[in-house]
Amino acid sequence: MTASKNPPSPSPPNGLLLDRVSFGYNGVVVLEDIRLDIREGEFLSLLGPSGSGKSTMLRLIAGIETPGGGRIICRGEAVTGPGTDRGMVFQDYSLFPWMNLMENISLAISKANRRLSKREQRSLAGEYLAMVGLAGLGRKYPFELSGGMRQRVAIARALALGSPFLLMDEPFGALDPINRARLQDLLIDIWSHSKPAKTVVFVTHDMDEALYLGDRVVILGSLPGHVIGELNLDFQRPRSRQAFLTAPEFQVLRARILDLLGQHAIERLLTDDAVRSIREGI
Amino acid sequence: MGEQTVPAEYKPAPERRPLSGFVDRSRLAARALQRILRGSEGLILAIGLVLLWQAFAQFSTGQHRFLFPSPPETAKALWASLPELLRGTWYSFLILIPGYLLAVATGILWGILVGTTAWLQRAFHPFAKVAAPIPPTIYIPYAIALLSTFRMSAIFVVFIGAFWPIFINTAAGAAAVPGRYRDDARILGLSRAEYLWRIVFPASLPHSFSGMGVGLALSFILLTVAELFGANAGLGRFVQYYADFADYPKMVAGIVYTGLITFISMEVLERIKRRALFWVR
Repeated sequence: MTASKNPPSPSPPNGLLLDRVSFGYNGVVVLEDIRLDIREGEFLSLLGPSGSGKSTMLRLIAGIETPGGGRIICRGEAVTGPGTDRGMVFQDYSLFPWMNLMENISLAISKANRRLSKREQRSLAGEYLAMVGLAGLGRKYPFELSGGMRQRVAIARALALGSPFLLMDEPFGALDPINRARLQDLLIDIWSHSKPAKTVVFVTHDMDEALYLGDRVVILGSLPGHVIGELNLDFQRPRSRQAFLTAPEFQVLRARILDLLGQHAIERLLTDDAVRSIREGI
Repeated sequence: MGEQTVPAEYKPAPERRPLSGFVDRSRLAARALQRILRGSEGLILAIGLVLLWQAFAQFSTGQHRFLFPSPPETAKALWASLPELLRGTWYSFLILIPGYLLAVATGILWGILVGTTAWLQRAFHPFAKVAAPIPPTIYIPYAIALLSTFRMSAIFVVFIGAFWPIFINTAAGAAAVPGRYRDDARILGLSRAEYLWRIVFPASLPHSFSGMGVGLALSFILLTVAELFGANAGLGRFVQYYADFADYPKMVAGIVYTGLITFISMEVLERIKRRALFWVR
């Protein structure tokens, strides 16, 4: 286990590179000078408090927002818009309510491979449903499912897109702890068995989730969002939840993250004009 | 002095229990009656109105007697002219259905396009504001003059009347498609045509249906008004015809029958809506 702040290595050909990316909205700087190198096959956790622009960062990578400055290079090519090489799972709303599960997934399949017949699409959709533990529920509609089941389908659909990159925006944020743990393990299981290896960028504000899932945790600070630190987690996989969460190394990492976030908060306070003027007064 | 008086609430009330048992029983009966009546308020009102109608017919004299055919008289007239009314329904529907369906098709199609295209929206918004409030009945004389046959002009008027509410509602619905659906569609790489057909159309369908409801009610109004002008068959024509002959039982029968047909049509639309929007929660 190491915790490092090393600058990113030169971009590998199949990874993803954020090069001095910035983004503003209505004159507010949301992200500033983001430099990040995401390696192929890596599970990257993006951890940050609300307002740190972590979701925005994911939307930029997905191509549904355009950076105000800098560039994003995906597998050697600049990102100019959404592409089926980057699938995405949103927090609580990734399915079309008027389509049944089969149709929702088939839509993604048809975009991934235009030459499949309707029948082939269906049987493939059935396989993806089985992969997330929902075999035989293709005719159900999203409103008939619980939140956890819906997120399973959303994951199945993102997988069905066949993208090498999987972008996940707090996908388990609205789930109860038990379902969240189940889906975390399901995700890791699918990810570690996928061939070719998938690169996952997982946005969360849950420290334990970021640590448990990630090969690497990148920590964002807020106002404006920027990278304040990063931790490499070379724990062996598969990780046992129980052992992992009670390991002393894990506690050290937790403390380290709290330290980084706390330091950042203090620094922000110290640079804040109001606070400074009070200090001067003293 | 007052120390000796025991407050009333401290006194035991031995008679209360049997009394309350009695009250409970009558209350139970009242509740049972309430339960029977609940849900049939509409039926009771209808019976009341028919009785009122009967009273009107019975106690009016002279020419008024003549103007208020009693419910049995009307029922008899309705039964007697049922074949004629059914034929009239057929003729009316030959106008209503093409006009309405045309309005549904163009209203939804155009509404989706305008609602999702910024420049079309800018172009149509002021125009719709001015053109939509024109009472469609005002087009009837012009449409009759302009188009070769009565049927064509009546279809046109029904179309115009039903088009605006469907178009305006659909455009509003299409413009308000939640951003998450748009994001999702972009992530999945849907083309614009696929996006409009598979996402915007169903997403704005609840709005379209409320426009279709208003449009259908308007269609019936316009249809019957148009038929008063120049038809030689149809529901509106039936009423106008027997009014001209002062055959009030048949006229009232025609009004009642038209009301029934309108109600059934609205109910059919409601069923279709419930079916199509099963996913709305």
